[in-house]
Amino acid sequence: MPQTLVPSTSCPNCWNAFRPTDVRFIAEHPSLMGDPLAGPAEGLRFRSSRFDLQGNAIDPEGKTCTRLACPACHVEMPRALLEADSRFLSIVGAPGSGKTCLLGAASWSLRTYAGDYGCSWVDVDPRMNMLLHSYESGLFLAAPGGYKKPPKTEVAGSSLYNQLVVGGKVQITPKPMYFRVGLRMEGTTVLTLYDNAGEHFMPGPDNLDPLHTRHLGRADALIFVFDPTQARAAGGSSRQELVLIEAMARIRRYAGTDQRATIGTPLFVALTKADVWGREVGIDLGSRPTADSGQVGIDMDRLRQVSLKAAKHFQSAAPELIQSINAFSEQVTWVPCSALGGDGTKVNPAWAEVPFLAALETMIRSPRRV
Amino acid sequence: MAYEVVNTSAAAGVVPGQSGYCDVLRTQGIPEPICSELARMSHYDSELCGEGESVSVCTIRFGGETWGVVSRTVPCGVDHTGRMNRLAHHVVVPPSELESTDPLDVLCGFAFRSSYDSAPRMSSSLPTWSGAGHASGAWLAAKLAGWERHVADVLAAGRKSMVLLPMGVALRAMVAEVLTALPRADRWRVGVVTGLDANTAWNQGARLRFLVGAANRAGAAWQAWPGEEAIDLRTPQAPPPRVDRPREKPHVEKQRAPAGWDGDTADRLVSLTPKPSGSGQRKPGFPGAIDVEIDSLPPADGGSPIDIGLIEASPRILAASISNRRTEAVRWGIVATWALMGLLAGALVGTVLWQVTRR
Repeated sequence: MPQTLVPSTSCPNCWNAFRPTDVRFIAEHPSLMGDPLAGPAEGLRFRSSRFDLQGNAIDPEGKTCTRLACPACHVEMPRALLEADSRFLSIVGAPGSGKTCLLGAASWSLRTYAGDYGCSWVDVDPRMNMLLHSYESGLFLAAPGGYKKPPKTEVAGSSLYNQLVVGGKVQITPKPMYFRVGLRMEGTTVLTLYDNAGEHFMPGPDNLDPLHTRHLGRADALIFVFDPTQARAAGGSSRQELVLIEAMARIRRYAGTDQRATIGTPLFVALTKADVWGREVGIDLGSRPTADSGQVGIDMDRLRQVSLKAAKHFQSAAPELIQSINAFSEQVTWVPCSALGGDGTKVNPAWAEVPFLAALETMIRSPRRV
Repeated sequence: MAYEVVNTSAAAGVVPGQSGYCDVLRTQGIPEPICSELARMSHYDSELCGEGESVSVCTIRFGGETWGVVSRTVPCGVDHTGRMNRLAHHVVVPPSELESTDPLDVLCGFAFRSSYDSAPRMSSSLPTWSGAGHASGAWLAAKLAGWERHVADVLAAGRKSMVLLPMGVALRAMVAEVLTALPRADRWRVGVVTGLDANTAWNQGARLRFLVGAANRAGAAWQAWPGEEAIDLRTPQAPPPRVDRPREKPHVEKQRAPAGWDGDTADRLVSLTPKPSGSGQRKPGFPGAIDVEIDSLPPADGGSPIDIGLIEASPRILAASISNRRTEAVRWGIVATWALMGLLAGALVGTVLWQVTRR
């Protein structure tokens, strides 16, 4: 085991807090296939008492094991969560607001341009981010004139969600995506991202006590994806501010926040499709907000100015949203961005990565939530 | 009375405030928790269905009773946001009618919807179906005649199976033919799904899953799980000769212990009774596996005890978990020490008494 283990960590799926010494290893030997909790196609989860010189566990059949799992739910988790400081970021939004598109565009932009900000952005374990890779490939690596938008995020299915059997009932949790972010000044942090179907955030009987949005209560920051072109649109599309109100109510419930207090979680409102409405408001997203300061090199002063301008615009364009946000949170940043941009033949995102970097900068500056 | 539910992506659902994937049609009186369960079962993966329809015949537990569900899910163009959409149509049979209702009738005789263009509504009319004419010859048309009998035999033997079919087959008719080959009493019980990976299918209680795709399709979902018999029919081949297998007890309702339990805790609290030698059914790909019977499980999360019939446990798994049970060893050490002290004290008292009586 490396000597830089964190004192304790939480499972990003079931939120069980445990010490790194209690972690389970995943057996690699074929004869140890099958785990009572993880399923018959998974290697046995075991607590090792034998290790090799590199600190890897040795399974009962003598194979070296490097993969780890939570001691409670037995779902695999990356080793980086035991070794580095980690931050959790939840993405919230109504169905069809463009959460997945934004995530795909942001991830690709960061892979390409993180160096401009002076930081680095890589997968902790590419195997765990494969779905995101497919979104990126569809958007940015498609043949000319034929990019493929990510499909509508399903509300179930094992490609998107981990399945846990709780009390005889199958519960799902979104498969987290893990990134290692190299900071300008202070080493490295692991960012864990969650992307649910928008339906999971809707108020309603289906979501009374859902495991699939428990991450809201543990998130260090929240990105609320708001599509201004759908606000008050004819045709009865979902009311996006209701999703935010429901998300805030769940944060209060899961995090045990006092009903009289505002939510302590920093909120970043990603205002998508800014290429359509931004010019009218006088917002220019032509250049990236880079800076030679901060942990991730983002120009927070410029962002603050743009945020004020956007907030002022939506005070009249979507007062119900402004009112809801003011009632819940004091740390709000409005970030105009565009996930797709372009002319319909080629994807040309603008500021798609900015909500994520701004959230990361704020999370690192803020004290950790307990 | 039976119920029907249509779940698709729409601007509004029958529940006020809902949009996206939601129920747009429900029969009045259907219990809400069942709708939540059906929403989860409405998942559609076009890559595992060969871009065609997906059907399932299975049961769910609600209110301590078993309800039957026959479903069909199809791709249905684009939704109100311009993205690919799917429509799932479920027929729910209540426990009181489960015995009298043949799932085959529902599967073949019910008019499943392929699109829904009306306003969302609660329906007062009950779903109906005709019970006539089941035989279809779909397996013959797919040049796979005889395999339906083999698949039914695998199911009747209590085993799980994954059947890979070529593109363009009449999936619903093929599923119906397999069900026809089963005794009527078993048709609800077996659990048949299409287009699902093993994890989801097993969690849904299904023992037979069909996947449709080209012969070169591969990936995790296309691999059989340990304990699952893979029958790859994507290239036509002759069925194996029939073997009369002894009928065995229907197998495994749940494969996993509840979350929050690790193997160690479960082992301590659960009484595992290995079956007599030879009665356990060996699973291909799961070396050394034997069947063990769980007598009881404590409630998980304060809920009701979980109904787990049989699980598989490898002696190696048990051995590995035993090696980790240090606390268990300490506990037995304390017990042994106390027993030893008791014996010594008894011997001492005996000696004193013997000396006293001697004098």
